[in-house]
Amino acid sequence: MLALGSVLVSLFHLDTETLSHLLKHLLPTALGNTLLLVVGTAILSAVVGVTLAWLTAVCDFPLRRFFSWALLLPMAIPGYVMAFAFVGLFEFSGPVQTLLRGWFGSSSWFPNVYSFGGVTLVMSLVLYPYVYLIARNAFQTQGRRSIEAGQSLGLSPVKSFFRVSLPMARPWIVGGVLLVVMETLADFGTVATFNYDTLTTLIYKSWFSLFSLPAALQVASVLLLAVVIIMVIERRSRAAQRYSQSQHASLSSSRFVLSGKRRWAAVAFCALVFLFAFVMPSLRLLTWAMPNLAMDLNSHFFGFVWSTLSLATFAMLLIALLALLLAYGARINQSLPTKFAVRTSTLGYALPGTVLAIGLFAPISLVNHWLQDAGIPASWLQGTFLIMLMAYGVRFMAVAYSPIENNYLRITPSIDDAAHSLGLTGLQVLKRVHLPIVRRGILTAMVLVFVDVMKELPITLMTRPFGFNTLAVRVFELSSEGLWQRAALPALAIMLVGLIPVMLLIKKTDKND
Amino acid sequence: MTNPIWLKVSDATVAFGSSHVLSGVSFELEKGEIGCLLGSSGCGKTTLLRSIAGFEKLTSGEIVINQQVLTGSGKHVPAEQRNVGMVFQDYALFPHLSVLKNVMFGLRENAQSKDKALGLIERVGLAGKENHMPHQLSGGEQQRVALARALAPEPVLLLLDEPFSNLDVSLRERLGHEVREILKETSTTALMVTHDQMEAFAIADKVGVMNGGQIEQWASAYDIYHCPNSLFVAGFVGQGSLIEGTLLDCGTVETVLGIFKQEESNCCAPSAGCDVGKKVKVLLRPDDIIHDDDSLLQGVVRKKAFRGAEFMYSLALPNGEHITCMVPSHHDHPVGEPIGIRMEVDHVVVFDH
Repeated sequence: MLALGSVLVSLFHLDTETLSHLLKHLLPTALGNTLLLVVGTAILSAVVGVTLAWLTAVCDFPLRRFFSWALLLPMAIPGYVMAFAFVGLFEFSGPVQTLLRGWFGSSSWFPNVYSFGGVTLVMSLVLYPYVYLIARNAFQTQGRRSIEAGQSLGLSPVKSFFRVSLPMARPWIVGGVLLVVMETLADFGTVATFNYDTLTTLIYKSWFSLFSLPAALQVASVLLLAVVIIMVIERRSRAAQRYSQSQHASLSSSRFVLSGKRRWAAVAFCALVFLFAFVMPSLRLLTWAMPNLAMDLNSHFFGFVWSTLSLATFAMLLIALLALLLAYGARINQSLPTKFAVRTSTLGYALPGTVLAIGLFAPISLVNHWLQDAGIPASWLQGTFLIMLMAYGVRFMAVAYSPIENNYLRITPSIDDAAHSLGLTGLQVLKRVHLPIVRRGILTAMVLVFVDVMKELPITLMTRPFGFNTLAVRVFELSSEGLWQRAALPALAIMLVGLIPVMLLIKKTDKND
Repeated sequence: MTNPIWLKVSDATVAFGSSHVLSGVSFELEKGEIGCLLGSSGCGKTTLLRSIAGFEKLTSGEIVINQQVLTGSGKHVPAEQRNVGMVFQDYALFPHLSVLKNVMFGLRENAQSKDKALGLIERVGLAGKENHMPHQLSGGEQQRVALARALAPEPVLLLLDEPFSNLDVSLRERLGHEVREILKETSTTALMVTHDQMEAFAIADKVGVMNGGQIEQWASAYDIYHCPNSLFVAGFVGQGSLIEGTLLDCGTVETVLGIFKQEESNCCAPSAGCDVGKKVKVLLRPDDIIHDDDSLLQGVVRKKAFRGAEFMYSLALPNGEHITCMVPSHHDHPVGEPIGIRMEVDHVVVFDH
């Protein structure tokens, strides 16, 4: 809330000098780049995600079961990791172009990696799983009857896709694409690695290179506006999902069995995406990390691991506890203020990390000034764990809240009444009834927050205390200096931990398969 | 000999702003009695039950159990301190606890309480299933666990909220009788809420018919059926028809089907007064009308419904009025045929126009 407020307030506080410089030179480029990237990524990840979802959910072809879960694995790779792995592979001195030069003598025809196309491709490879997951779920739960009705009226599989499945799944697909758009708007690490200037990198630059908080706030407010627009659209599309829900679930009995060329085309497409989005970056990281393993696995590295783990653990415990209290409060007191509190505290997930960090800085630096005017040394306020944890709390509250709330929905109100009528007071009910039942939700919440905090780049980068490094920051620093081999090891560590929630997700989706 | 008054509800009112969910409900239950609140949804019966349990606060009025004021004159003992047991419509078993742990939930954990819980589990017919989890049980079994759990702390009063509504009909009847047996055995005073009159009749000693936040009549099941005190109760409970009548004397009424006289012993006819010549409505239950082929009194079959053992005939009388009568099903008469009827009205119930 605070962060949001200060960004909004900044709209009326103009730092004219820096701003005019910004407006003239940087802002239009950044805004244009951001828009291009958003549109490109949305289209590419929608096409890839929906096609894969339909193939694995409705059709049958060799290796389908394997691909249906393996195609989710790229979710474990943060954008900034995928970005430098990709750049390292395909830039001029990378192995691919070197190989091509060996064959053809020249590789000047090869497209430049540091380009709009490169960022869009990498961004889509990182984000298509969102569309894939949601669209697949929609295809799976679509009434089988309607597809059968289409078949009985003579539709081929491909026609049935365009005339039945796709229109029916549209609200979900839109939801998935909007998620991709939000993530693209919020992304900092990927675009920074590609030196592709967007609003988020501009916020970062205004703050760290131009040292202008107002300018950063100005850019943040532009970004915030875009996010708000997307959120409004997202809410609308969610309303549409309710209308076209269907309770028929299982499809497994009758899939379209693809034959001949089609089946191999399906396999090839799935394999290609899987190769680019997961196998290649993982191998690249491994081949980078292996030779230097003995050297890099030193106390220095374990220092990063230790600080990352302790930070993530602390944030995880704190945020899970807050989310639990929030869910418990919402349950025992269903008044309007509580509902409002829940609503606002779970909105933070939509705020890009850069906006959030800048938004929290503004009020803090104001307090700073006051304290300094009063003669109290207060610079310790800036760049402390306190701000960091506040920012994480805002950003990841929704991540922690929703699994706990989902579990809470299983406890009917009469279970609380039953416990009371058997002599338990409020806190005893929490301890003896609620906690045992929502335990799994709390665990899920903790895992998700832990991994998210570990992967989080912009918030950590911008709010960390001086000299405090996490694995994510380390990866970013090394890769932005082009030290890819050295960045590979911490990146692999992040990936490995990132696989945990993806595995949980796969286990969950497997049940409906 | 009557038992002491155990539960006393006086003038219970629950209002949200100007709309009254309960308005001035009063009734009493003796120790060991089973009461039942009968009514359609939205009549306030569940609110009344939840107020007695302590989940809802009364706007005004008083709830006293065993001479202890639980609600009233600004006092509201919280639910957890009332020792009032409750069986919920959805059973509300704790999903993370075994049958035994569920039943022991309201007890201190020690050896005696375990024995006690095991005894109760056996009494409700679930011996051998004490280590099952709730989701492994059928609906009827879950309901028995809920009953055992509520009885375990020996509550001063047991409340049952539509306890059988989620069960199929055959099971409902059997469980109903079992529950009554167990309650009587443990001499538990109980109050149940239901919308199913057969359930109320099968289990309860006293039935309260509720309508619009008020109790229309509080009496035994027999009296509710045969001597309803209002047109609403007459219509809500059982089947029947109303025909025109004229008072001849106190307790004597003349109708197109003859003259009915109220016997002294069959008390209950409400006060239609003794105004000779006053027009009234007379309630005729299907069992007041006997089919008799030799009778000169006739009605024409307008509608018929086959019920297995009997036919429910709707008959048109010569003056155009309709009555319903129940006839053994080997008397199969086609629609349009006049059939003979004989009147056997023990309880003359008349209402003002």
